[in-house]
Amino acid sequence: MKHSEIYYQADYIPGMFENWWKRFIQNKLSFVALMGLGLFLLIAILAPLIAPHDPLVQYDEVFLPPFWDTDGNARFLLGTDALGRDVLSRLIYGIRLTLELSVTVVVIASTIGVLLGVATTSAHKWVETLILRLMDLFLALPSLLVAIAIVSVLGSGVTNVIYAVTIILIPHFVLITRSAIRIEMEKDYVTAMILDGSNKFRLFYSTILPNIVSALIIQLAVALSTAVLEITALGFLGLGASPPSPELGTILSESHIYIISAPWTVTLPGLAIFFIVFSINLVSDGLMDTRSKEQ
Amino acid sequence: MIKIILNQFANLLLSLFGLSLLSFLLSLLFPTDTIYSYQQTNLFEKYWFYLNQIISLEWGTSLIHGRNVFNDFILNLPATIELIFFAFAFAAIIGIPLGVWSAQHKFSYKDKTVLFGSLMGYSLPIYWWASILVLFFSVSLGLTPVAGRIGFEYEIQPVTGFILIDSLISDTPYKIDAFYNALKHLFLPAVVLGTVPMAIFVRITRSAMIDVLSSDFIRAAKSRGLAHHKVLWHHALRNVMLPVLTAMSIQISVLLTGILITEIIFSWPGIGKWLLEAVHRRDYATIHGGILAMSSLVIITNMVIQVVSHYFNPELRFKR
Amino acid sequence: MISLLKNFTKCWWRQKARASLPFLLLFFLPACEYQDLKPIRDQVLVYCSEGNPETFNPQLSTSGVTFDASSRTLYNRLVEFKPNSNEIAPSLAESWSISPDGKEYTFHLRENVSFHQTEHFRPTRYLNADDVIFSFSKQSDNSHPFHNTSQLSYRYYESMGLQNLIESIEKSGQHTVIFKLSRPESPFLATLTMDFTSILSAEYADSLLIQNKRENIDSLPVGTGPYQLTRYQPDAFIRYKAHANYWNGEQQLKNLVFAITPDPSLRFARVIAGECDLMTNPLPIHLMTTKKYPQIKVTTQPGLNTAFLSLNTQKPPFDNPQVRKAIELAINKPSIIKVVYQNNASLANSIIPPTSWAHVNSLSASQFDPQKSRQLLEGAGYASGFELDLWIMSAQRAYNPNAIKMAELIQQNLKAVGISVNIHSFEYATFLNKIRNGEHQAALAGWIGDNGDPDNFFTPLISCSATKSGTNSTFWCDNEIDQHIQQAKLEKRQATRYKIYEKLQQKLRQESPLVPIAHATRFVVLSHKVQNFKMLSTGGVSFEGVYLEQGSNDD
Repeated sequence: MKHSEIYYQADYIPGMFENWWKRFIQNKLSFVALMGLGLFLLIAILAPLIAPHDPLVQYDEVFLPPFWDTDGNARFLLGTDALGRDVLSRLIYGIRLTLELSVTVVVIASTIGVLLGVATTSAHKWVETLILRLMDLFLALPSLLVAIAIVSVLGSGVTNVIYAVTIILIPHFVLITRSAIRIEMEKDYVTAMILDGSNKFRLFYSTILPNIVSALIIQLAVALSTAVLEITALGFLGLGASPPSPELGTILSESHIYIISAPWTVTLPGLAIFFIVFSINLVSDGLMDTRSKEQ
Repeated sequence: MIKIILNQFANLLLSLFGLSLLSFLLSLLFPTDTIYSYQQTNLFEKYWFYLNQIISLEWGTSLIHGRNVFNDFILNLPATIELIFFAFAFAAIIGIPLGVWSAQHKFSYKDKTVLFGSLMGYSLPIYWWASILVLFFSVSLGLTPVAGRIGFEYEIQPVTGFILIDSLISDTPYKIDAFYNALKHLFLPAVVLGTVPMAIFVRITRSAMIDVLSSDFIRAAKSRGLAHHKVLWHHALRNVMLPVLTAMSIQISVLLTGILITEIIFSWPGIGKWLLEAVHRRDYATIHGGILAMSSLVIITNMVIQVVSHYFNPELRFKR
Repeated sequence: MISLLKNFTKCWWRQKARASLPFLLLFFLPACEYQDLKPIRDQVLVYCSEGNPETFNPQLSTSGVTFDASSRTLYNRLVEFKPNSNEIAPSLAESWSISPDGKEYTFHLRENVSFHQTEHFRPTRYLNADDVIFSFSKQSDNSHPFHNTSQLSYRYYESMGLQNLIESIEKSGQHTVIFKLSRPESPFLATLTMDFTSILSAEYADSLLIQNKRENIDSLPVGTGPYQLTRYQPDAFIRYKAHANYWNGEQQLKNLVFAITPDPSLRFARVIAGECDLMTNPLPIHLMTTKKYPQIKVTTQPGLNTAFLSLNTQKPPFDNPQVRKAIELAINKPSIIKVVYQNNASLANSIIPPTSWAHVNSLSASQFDPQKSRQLLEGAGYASGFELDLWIMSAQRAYNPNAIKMAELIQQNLKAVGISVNIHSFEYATFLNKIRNGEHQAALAGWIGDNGDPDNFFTPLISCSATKSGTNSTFWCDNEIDQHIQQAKLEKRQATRYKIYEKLQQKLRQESPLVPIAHATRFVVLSHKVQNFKMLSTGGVSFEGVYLEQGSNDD
């Protein structure tokens, strides 16, 4: 006897992520934002191919306005800066560098954060207390202060920015992981698995992890937007990547003295940062919406 | 209630202890000695000496101009408090009504516009936002001052440190002018600093309002025939204030990040500018004192807000 | 139209204030029709200055920012330059005579010169010879009770070699002072016009000694100058008021404020917005847009300054003259002049600017030649290049509008010859301190002449004595050069001195302990209200005789 004859069975059951995706793209705005974010990532990856000039080469034309200005020049679409470097190319490389830094920071912070979060739920009581207390403290400290402390000990530079922003982001991952795991642990199916005698690792890997992924993904998006803002803020304050590096915040801090006479050297990098953060925030907003509908 | 306060106080002490350890570590890492002298060889002795110095407010002297770090902090604090106050006032006055309005029209295009706008405000890099506002309002239109706390032509003796108060109690014949001048100087920095908190206020007020409006007691009030605006502003808003208060406590740390940037851009003589200038001058004594003071302030303010929200929230008050 | 809008906002602010603070303000607030009749802004001159003064005692500094805020406003010297000339005029000394052997200078002091009366000090007597002696022995005498009042040292006094030059200072009667020198020195009168020779009050020092507050002499100054200090808030402002009993007549301008604004863009914005009346050292790009703003004007003057790249000759590889030469050849100076200065500077081949009589026109121009530079580097064993730490200061200077840009251009130039440059930026005071200690490998520095005499460049910048006081940032010390410098100082005739300086500059050309880059043209942006402002030939600003045009209310 065939199964299909006894009871109805769908030919295809959409998986968890597919369901999620479908619900996510129902919100047009977050879909557009995701496309925008994709575009930024594409720009970042393809930077060497699409940038019309070397971002560090100084041409003779300084402070050339963008092409829509009467004094503009089609050779430099978005004009040149104080040193005669092509603004468009610096922006493209800036997006690449800033995103590269932000993603690195988020990857490191989430890995450490999730591990610590797991540790708090499974290790000794005193380990848990120690980690939680430390995280509480870091959460209460203003992020830029932590960054200033680190930078003033180690000096400004890209690596120190990575340390500083990573430390700021870790506590959020720890707490999210911890609370998500604790919610899952109380559910019946987990109890069932424990009674079935599955070991801790298997329990975590095959059962709990898939269920806390959605919470983590949202936190990843939130962390990414925080990272972009913090890294560029440090760059702007002269504590981050040092010139001539085309980090977006560093570009802003270099050009911000020219805002009256050459406003495009300030407005354009600022707009780039704004659109990156805005699209990340729209996407994470959409993710949160999807998740709240799910529950 | 007393139990809660004691509990929070214990938490506070623990946090401050942790902070002192961290800042001690920081002072060890600095290339120059800031607090302790060379006499202590043992790390514990050093820490003990350090703690004593911190508690007795002997935070060392600035390596650049030789003034007492703690006094400097107190001197610069009022300007920052003034700025925070107006930034929050701006954020609350615009953000909360907008959130309520948005909740009333939930899921309509009005609501979506507000949400979209608030998300934009939330995404602004404020150093850039400040530059744009200055370019437009100050340089192009000449409506607001470019930077500073008050016009240099006004000589106001610092009494309280709050320039709005000092200008009114001063004995110059120009005190009213000075007051307006100071208010004008506050406008742009407060808007810049208040933008992100405003966006957050909108979102939190909106979601809390939507929750409250669908709750039973509001429906009961409505069914009793109470006027719509009365239900909204009297019954509902009061319950919305709690999540807003909680959000404020989270915002304080976000706000401090903004403070540093805003003060630098508007050359506002507060603690943010003081600290950042110390960083650029490698003035380690001031950096250490500034970080310690600002972090303690944040931790203490957080505790106060927690106690207050416990007090206002019957659910939490009777829970334990 | 704009003024209408402004009036509207004024009223609007008042209404808003009235609505938000009703209890406090209801009784104070005049009606909105009330006009701002009292032009308080017209009674105060606001100068957007570039940074905090290190101290208010000009003896302790070499920085122009400090001199602007101290010696040029608060103090006078025995003699001073006539504005915009090299001619020395009487100041606190009414007249003077020089003995035939050139070793004895007698000054007759002006009578009835009063010192500032401040909150802390009330002078009971006029200036006399004791004040002059006090001002010099505070600097020269190690055991003087006021010698060690500050962490700062008497850098100028040391680098000008005065401790060996001045044998004694004696008074002969209340108002006559005699300086006895160990040797004839032709630039000595010019030296006495310099800021560090400002005359302080001995009576004030005595009263501080009794109160045991000696350090106040540097921070709460009492001088004879046209203005006196009323309040200083670091990183914010310095306030002065006119000195009522100034010997040269009380100033017409009663209030003077230095608004401390290191950011050049903010300075410019403040002048446009009318918050400041005057600023120095605008960015070249801003100068191009000044025509758009009718409320401001620009005055200019070729500067007595030099920007240079200083190579620490005590540290390898710059102990090797070949490597130093290679650096000079690798740097594209014309491009720096164009990009950093927007052509508002002249290319430098020597440390002496073209406005000085000691400038040598025939000096071989340094050509930009990366090819040759590479060869020299190969010859010195650095074929594969090396790493170079280049130190710069974040603040903008009269001789360098943008050190970061200059450093980046140099970074690019040196990359072409295989040298990779790391740029480190420091705040001004930190920078000076570290340079003085010789911690740097290479630094972008500069010098502003402050007495018009060419020796004012040679002695502080490349003499051996200046390696100790730290103004010689190359730490290069050559006995032959030092002899030339001394010889030129002894010589009275300008033509002979020129010959010596010519030889000196050629020698420097070969050794290149420093790479001269540019002599910046000086600019001042000021409001039309400011009257009678003259730039000092030595750089810096002085507000003596400056006043604001009254009456025009349309700000």
